[in-house]
Amino acid sequence: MSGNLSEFLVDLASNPDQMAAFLADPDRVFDAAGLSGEERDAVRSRDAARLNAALSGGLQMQTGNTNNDMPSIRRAPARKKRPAGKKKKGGTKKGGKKKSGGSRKGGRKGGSKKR
Amino acid sequence: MQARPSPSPGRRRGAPRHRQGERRGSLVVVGIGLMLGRHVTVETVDAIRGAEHVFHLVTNPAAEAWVQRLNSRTTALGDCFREGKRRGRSYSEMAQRIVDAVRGGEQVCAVFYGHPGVLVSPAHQALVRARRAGYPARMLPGISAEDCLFADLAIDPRGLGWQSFEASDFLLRRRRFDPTVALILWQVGLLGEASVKPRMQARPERLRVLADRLAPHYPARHSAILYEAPEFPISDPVIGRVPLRRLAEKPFYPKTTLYVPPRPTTSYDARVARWFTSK
Repeated sequence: MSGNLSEFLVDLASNPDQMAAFLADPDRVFDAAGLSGEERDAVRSRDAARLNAALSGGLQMQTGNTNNDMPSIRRAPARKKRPAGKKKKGGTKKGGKKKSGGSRKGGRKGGSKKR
Repeated sequence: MQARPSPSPGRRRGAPRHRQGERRGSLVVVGIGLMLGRHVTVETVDAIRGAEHVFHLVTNPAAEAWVQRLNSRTTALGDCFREGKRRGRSYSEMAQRIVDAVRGGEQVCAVFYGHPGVLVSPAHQALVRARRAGYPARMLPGISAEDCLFADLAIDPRGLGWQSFEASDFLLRRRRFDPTVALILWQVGLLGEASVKPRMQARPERLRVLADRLAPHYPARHSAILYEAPEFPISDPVIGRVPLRRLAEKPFYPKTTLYVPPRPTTSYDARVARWFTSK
């Protein structure tokens, strides 16, 4: 990992004079910053992947770019088996009207009957 | 007229009582955008400078150096990642470290790249845990990768419509989407990956599943754009086109975003259309 390259890039980002000097004469700014040949090549390429590789061997780039977890998988709780012959409770409201809510399947069935 | 006091929430119900003079912890969660040192708000710079302890999860060592110039009392969170370790566990650990410092009475600032509220699990976890424990905690906005995408691709999300999903979630939940509206998929490079490892990229067989999910909804030659926001002041955004059916032929890294332009449509609601011509 290169401290020189990090400091060099931070200088470019925070100091407009440094950026102007770099654009005018990169080699003079490289010499002043003490960058290695590989680091100079990475900066000259202006390629983020090469710069990241020169900064940290690429590892930081890959891990640092995951901020969010996988979606969590919640399974529906297992349904209890009804004893054979026992009727389902709560299928109708008082007065015999069909439930408007409930399971998706039930709701759809109710909707189609109305048509 | 008196100046408004700074917006720090008061003591919540169940919060620990503090005697006068006792140090009381607090949390500010901030985002520093994507480009090194250039996407930061004045508010965020003040929060980093003023903190007693700064935690950070940023994209590269140069960004760490930038944070350290503002405040030398820093702790990196990147070591919570380990190959083979579930990402969810790493994020939970990060949040715990942050909240432990708050409980210890420190004025804590947690720094993340991008916008801290957009696809940043540890930021949300830390905020919720600190608030539940009764400590003042707030989040400051930052420039997200999505903001950069709109600028670099010159897209008006309100003009075209806009739907945005985390890629793994999109496939897992079979999210319904409208192909006549712009579609953005995040973290395509991490499709179904529970852990992290060096030089990670999406597995081609999983990209084929994504292509099979998308392609039937678009014209045969419909192309998508692979996008990466620029990280350094001397680098450009990465923008590449790929036909949807050939997604698996391109490398997708963790920071690669997939933008699928909308399919043309001519359908409209005639009743609403008449509104525009009626006097």
